[in-house]
Amino acid sequence: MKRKGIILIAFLSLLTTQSFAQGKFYTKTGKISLFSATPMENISAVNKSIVCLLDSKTGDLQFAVLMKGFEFKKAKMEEDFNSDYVESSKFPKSEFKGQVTNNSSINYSINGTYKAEVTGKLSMHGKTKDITASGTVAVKDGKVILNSVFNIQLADFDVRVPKMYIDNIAKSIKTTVDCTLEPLK
Amino acid sequence: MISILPLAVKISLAIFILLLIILFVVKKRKFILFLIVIDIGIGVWQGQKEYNRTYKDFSNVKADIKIAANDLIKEFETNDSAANKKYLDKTLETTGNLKDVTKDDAGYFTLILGDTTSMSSVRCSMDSTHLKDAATVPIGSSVTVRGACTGFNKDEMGLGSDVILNRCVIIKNQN
Repeated sequence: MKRKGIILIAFLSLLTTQSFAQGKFYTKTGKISLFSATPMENISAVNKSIVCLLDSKTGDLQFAVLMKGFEFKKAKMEEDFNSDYVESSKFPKSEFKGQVTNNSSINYSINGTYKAEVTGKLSMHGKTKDITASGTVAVKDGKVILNSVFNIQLADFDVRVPKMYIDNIAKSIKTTVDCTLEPLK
Repeated sequence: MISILPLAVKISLAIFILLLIILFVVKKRKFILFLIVIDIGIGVWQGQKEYNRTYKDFSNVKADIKIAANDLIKEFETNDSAANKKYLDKTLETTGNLKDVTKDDAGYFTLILGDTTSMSSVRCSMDSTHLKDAATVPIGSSVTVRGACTGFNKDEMGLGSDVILNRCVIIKNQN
């Protein structure tokens, strides 16, 4: 009886790791930070309500970002960002739909940090652009942690900066993704 | 370019131009020069003040709209573009059942309001200076939260729809 029980437990635990390995992972509290560095000043903003969904089986990766959710230290910068640069009332949502291109080299059931390449379409400010980013996928006790740093060119998304601030805002914005995904039940 | 200047700076700029014109007409030039210096001083001071302004803590700001969490969700689900027009950028005060509280690795709290039977929620990202308050609210109690509405995440990934509030503070919680 005892042996049967052990086998059953072993079988069940195998099943659960299997379901982790093949399942979907998500978060609604992912973080994306923007950083603009110029000799005049450094400006940073963070959005803490990023929705992210990863299908570990296919490598499909999706992000949804509400543009009004970026928090700046200074109110004026946040207001300018929303009204003049990304026009968030007109374009409230930004989206990324893509794929982890080397998904087969990531083992979602074994703890570890894997290098990852992601490519897909980023929609923002009414424009859609193909982008590629590299980063890491860390698997830790059933959670999946995504980290990536890449640059977004303002011109690619038709984001215009008023002449007055042209020296204060970088043309290329450093974008940092930090999302801890949990298994989707 | 002028349109993005704060109002106070625009006014001082207008006064400056006016004074310049007066300077060439009248004889009391010293007095006008004195006024110009004062005007520039006020303009720079106001400009700096506006440039360095930070957001007010929502516990001291009056809400634009008060609404029950379930009604808010329903409005966004029925017509999200109309609801966006009505609620985006507004300070909302919403009351609802606290479904869950999440804390992330960086220590940020999110309160999730709505019916436990529904996939849809109002997600309130807490103001970083009020994080401790979030840990004290019991799940299942009724809570009132004030925050800035940043939009609606329509359910496109099978994760449920959410209305998002930012910089939230807890106004009161009834057990």
